Amino acid sequence: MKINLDKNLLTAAIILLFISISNKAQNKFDYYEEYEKYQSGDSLQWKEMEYNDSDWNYYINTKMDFISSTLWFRCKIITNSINIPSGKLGLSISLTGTYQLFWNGVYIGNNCSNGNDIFKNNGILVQTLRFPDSLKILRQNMLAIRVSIPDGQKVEFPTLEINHIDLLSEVPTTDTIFLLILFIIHIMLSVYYLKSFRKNKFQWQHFFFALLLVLIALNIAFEMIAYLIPITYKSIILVDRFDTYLVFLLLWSFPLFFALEFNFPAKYSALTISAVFIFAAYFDIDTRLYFQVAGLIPGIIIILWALYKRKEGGINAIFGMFVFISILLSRNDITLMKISFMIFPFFISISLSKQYFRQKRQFQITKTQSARLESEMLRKIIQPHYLMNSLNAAVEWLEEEPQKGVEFIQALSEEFREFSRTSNLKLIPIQDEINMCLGHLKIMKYRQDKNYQLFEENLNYDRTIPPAIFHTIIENGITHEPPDAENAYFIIKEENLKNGIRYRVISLYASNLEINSVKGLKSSLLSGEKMQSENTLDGTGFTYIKARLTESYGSNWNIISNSYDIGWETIIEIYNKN
Amino acid sequence: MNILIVEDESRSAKRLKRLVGNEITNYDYKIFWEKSLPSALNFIEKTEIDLLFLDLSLKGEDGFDLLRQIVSKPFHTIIVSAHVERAIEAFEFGVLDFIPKPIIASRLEQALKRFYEEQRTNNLTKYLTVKNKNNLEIVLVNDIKFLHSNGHYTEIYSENKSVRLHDKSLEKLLMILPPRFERTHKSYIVNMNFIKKIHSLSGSIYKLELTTNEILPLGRSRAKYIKNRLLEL
Repeated sequence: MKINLDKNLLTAAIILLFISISNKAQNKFDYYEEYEKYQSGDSLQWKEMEYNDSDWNYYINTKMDFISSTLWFRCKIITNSINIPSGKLGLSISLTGTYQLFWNGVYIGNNCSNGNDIFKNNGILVQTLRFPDSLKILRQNMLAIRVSIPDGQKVEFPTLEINHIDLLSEVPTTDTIFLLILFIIHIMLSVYYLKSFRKNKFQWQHFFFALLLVLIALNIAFEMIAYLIPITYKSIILVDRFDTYLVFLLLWSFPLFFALEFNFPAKYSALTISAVFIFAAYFDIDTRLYFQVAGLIPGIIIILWALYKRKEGGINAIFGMFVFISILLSRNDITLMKISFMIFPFFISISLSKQYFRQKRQFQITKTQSARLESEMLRKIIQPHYLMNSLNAAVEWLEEEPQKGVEFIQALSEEFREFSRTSNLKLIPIQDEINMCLGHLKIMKYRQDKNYQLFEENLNYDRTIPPAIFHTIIENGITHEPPDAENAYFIIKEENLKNGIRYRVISLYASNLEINSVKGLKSSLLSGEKMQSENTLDGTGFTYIKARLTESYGSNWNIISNSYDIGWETIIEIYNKN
Repeated sequence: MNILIVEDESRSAKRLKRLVGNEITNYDYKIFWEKSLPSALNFIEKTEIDLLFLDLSLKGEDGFDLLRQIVSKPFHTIIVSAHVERAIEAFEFGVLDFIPKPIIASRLEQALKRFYEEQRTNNLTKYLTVKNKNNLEIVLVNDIKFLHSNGHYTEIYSENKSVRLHDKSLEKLLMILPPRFERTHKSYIVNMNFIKKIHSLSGSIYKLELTTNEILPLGRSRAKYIKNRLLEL
């Protein structure tokens, strides 16, 4: 099955993830950075090992101000692995700007895309370069970087890795592998949910979730792009701007997803406020990070509300949110924040799966119940008591008064036809149901030699009703006719309720009563004494009625049966969805 | 002859009435019609009938409760019903015949013929019911050793039980008892499973010895037939 294949790929990807992380242990070149410092300005003296940089600024992970657009980094590297030939080692570096590199005062390379002049060039963002064979690796080393930064660009300390060249050159850094795997996982999950949505149209959450995953994957891709292709920082600025909008969309999609999933009442206002919040944040560069967090507040509110209302999936969402914020607050790293978006999918996936399987099961149960109702309805007209008695009467009419016999057969055929047509429908127009009732009364006329009549009162023919409900009640009305009743009259009345609709189906038995009009019938019923009232009816006829009502109206209905000395009344109430 | 039809549907009752009327040409008869079980029981208390046509499912009630009472009565019952699945159960209680709906004239003719000719129509009877003061007792046919005529009633002798009295005549009971029950004497029906030996005495007098040690008379004209039957078994 395709779904299992995806799951296996997912598992494989996760395993790869762990392997790639463990790669770090294979770092053959053992070193650490004693300090990282920077100074704006430009002087070639600064490349020298012995230069006194005690008044230089330590690099702190926040934005830095700088006066000129040129600056130097100095990074002291301590190592014990002095015996590895330098030709076998290399340096992998990621830095925004155009730069030249100096190792212990020796020039070792640059990242200019064209030539050597750092002031006239765009620099390649991510680079791997091999140390020259002649380079000396000492216990204490100084890596000096001379950088030309474009105006308006924030300074970030370069990301460095020094290692065996074989471990560096072919493969991007372990962080990149991690990101790559995350990207793959997100794309795969997205495909899985899109396929699932295609198969089950009722699971719209899967579609939105898939979109969310694609957005996250794109975000990850932008993070990685510099590591995978030699892209210049000017291009990166564009990519970064695009990524900014992407993150905005992402931050807004979370409350959107949750608002839709949990059916949050004030959806539109919440999402508008959220959008304004996030959008405003992007104009304020200084506190961008904190506003990104603030932008999540609508999402948090929605999730907390969902928890309070004990909505399904609320706990999963709150876990996700909790983990996400913890990461955010513990590491003040925008890159990490972007990566942390991926926390959500795993938690949301869990609740989506649960929801999906529950809904699918419910769907199957409903389908089975509908099939059962269809066959139950058909069984009504073929069960022996009904069918054989009808045929017995038909044979009698045919032998005694052939013309009447033919009419009776026609009436029977009509009933069979209507039942066959409507048994697999959940709702039919009121008119069709009334016609079926009239058809039934016609048949019973031929069987019982009585003139049954049906009166309608106040019926709205625009409405629909599940099939054979009135029919069953009327059928019961005839079956339970007192033996000495000369005739039976049926009334179907519609009444409006504040929160729905009420149908009264009344069976009146005439023995000595002379009943002429509906008004007369109404008053007769009211004056009669109520003998018993039931609203937990369990006869087989009522089981069918209850099942049909549940099929179409869930639990929004009620049925009561009252018996009087001159008849029966069955009341069916159907309530509006609330 | 009084015939009672118990049927809740008018047209079906009319059919039965008409077809029965067509069949019975040699007798004076009256057909009565009751629509429900209670009114039928009431009628039976007041009027003696010779034959009953009973529909098993009236107004959703289960006619079987009535059936068990009815089969203890002196008259025979023919079931007319749409529900063929319960036919066997009805036969086990000793009804005379079962006519499915829709009623076809030929089938009714057959049933009535059996009735008149006192044919043995039912070999499935497992139980007889006997009215015992105010309750109904069920007699297992397998346990019956022999039956003895006592005027209009029949004494039933069963293994390990006291004598019970059935309202049907010996002739009527014979019609619904299984084949191993044979008329051995004008006053006796014997369950051949209980026959141990035939005693042949001087003067063409025959006696039956039962496995339970009773000695019963065996009619001279029936002796040969009984002997042959015993050989078959």
